[in-house]
Formats: sequence, C-alpha cells, structure tokens
Amino acid sequence: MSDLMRRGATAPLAVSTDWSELRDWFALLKPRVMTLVVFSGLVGMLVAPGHIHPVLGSVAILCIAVGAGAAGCINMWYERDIDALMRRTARRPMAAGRIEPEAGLAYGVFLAGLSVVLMGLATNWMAAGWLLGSILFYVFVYTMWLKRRTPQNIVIGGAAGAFPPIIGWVAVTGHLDVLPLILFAIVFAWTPPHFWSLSLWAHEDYARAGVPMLPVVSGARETRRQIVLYTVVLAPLGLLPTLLGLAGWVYGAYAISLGIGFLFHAWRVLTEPQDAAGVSLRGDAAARKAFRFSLLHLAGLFGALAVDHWLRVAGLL
Amino acid sequence: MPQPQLPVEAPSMSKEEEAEFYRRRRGRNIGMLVLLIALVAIFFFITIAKLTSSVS
Repeated sequence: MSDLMRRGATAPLAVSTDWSELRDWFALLKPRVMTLVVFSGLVGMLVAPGHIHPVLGSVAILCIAVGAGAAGCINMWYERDIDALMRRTARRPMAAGRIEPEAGLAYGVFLAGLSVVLMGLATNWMAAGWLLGSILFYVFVYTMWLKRRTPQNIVIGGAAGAFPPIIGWVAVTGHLDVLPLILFAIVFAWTPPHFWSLSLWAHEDYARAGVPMLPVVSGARETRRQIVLYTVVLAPLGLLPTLLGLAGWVYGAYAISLGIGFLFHAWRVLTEPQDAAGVSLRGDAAARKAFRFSLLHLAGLFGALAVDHWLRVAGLL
Repeated sequence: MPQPQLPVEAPSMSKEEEAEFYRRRRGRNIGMLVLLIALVAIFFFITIAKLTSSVS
C-alpha cells in the first residue's frame, strides 16, 4: 500500500475548502476602478507623438489594467479587516472570507509582476518602471502608510491613480514630457473632490472602520470647503494643455465648460442646506450629484483631449 | 484486500453542497485554462509584432 493511501486511510488528507467563484477572483481586481485607469492610460497613449504597433499598444493597455487590478487586489488583502467593517466593502471576497488572504496576496503579487514584465517586453522598460512605481506607490504609500494615518490620505494617495496617462505616453515615446505631467496633475487634483464627495455620505462607514477620512476627522463643513478649494485648482489645470499650445480649442472649450460645471457642483455641495456641523439636511443630494459629475468631468476632459488630438493630426484644426 | 477510500472532500457536505463545490471549482479551473491560453497567445503576438516592426 502506498504511503499516500495509508495516510488517507487513517486521517483525512488536506481537503480543499476553497469555495470561491471565478467572479470573486475578478472582483479582486476592482474592475470599476480599472475602467477609469484604462481610459486615462489609453488617452495618454493616443495623444503621444509617435507610433506603436496596435498589438503592442493593446498589450500595454492590458498591462496597465492588470497592474492597477493587482494593486487593488493587494490593497484588499491589506485592508480586509476594515473592509469587513464597512457596508460598502464587506462583501469583498477576502473581507467576506470567500478567498483565503494568502491566496489573494499571492494572486495580486503574481499579477503585478506579470503586468510589469509584460509591459517591459511589449513596449519599453521605462514604461514598465512607471507601472511598477504606480503599483508600489498605491500599495506602500497609500494603502500601508497614509490611509490609516492622515485625513490627507486621498490627496497624496490619489497620485497612484494619476500614473496611467504617464505610463501610456511613455509606452509610446519611451520618455516623459510636459503633457503627460499635466494629465497627471489633472487626475491628482481631481481625486480629492471626487473622493470627498463620496465620503460625505459614506463617512459613517469610515468612522466605524477607524479610517481618518476628512469628514470623520475635520467634519463635513471643512470637507465641503476643501472640495471647493480643490475644484478651484482643478478648473485652470484642465485648461493648461490649451494655454500651453499642447491642445486645441476644441479641447479648451470642453475644459472650460466642464471646469465651470464642476465648480457649480462644488458650490452646491458647499451651500446646500446643512446643520451646524455641516451635515446635509437633504440626504447629501448635492454631494451625490458632484460625485457623479466628477466621473463625467474626467471622462469628458480626457475624451475631448483625444478627439482634439485626432482633429489636429487630421489637419482639421 | 479492499482498498481504503481516499477522502476527497470534507465528509460533512450534503449532496447539494458537494455539487455546488464542484461547480465552483470547475469554474475556477476553466478560468485558469483561459488565462494560460491567453498568456501563450499574448507572448506569441508580442513576438510577431516585434518581428514585423523590426523588419519594416
């Protein structure tokens, strides 16, 4: 009788207790966040001067998506304790116990490594380096260092989400330039008002989990003020590509109208009926609208930049 | 001499649970297969694209 069978006859072999579904593994990659990352990375690639083989360009976009997903997966591994305390995140695969933490971490690290190597092989190692930097920044700077320590977590941590346009650009050109840095700055300045709009109505979750989001630490009134301040910075930043001659007036017109739109929504957030602590008396209707508009704002701005670029390349502008 | 049965899964599972367990594992296995095939295809197409780029 073999040793295996002898062990099997006397004591149960290690049995698999993995009840996860395929969709759980997909959910670990934060597919909704991935959408915006892919879009901004694609725009960075489209507006870059030069040419990239369509196959290699597609692989580069895939790498940006998988790299962002891997960072999100490692984030979920690290935050599974606080995710379990928040309504919005309690059903995440590791927080809910459907995927073992060790397996989730291994999956995230493997995909991160794979995306970086694949990016280097398909495009250039400078782009791979930027991708690696963005993953490390998100995991170590935002997730592990800032998020549980400071209410400014989202301000500096937001830089992690601003890397994709740079990665897309560098994948095509092999070097950095002014326009991708401006795109970085736009996403960087856009993230706080976007995220704080969400946190205005989700702050109870963060308070329960002990995450020092701005509304938890400084209150809703200060958060509303900060949303306006960052939107005031964001609006002119959006116009910068046109002012520097890096984009045309089609983009400029969009940037002006979207900037005014976001300022209007931020103003509504600041002035909506609220109690003495700044808590909304209208169910945070203004903050919800501002959050939705912020998504439209970034998508519109980047989409307009790509269209403007095509029109200029085609000689129509 | 009768061969002892190797326990495959936890003995406490009901028939429905066992069926569900195997359905999920099958789904994960198919996902892994698709991932591996996709990886092979990606490496193949990267190679072809690099070759054609360098030739042209």
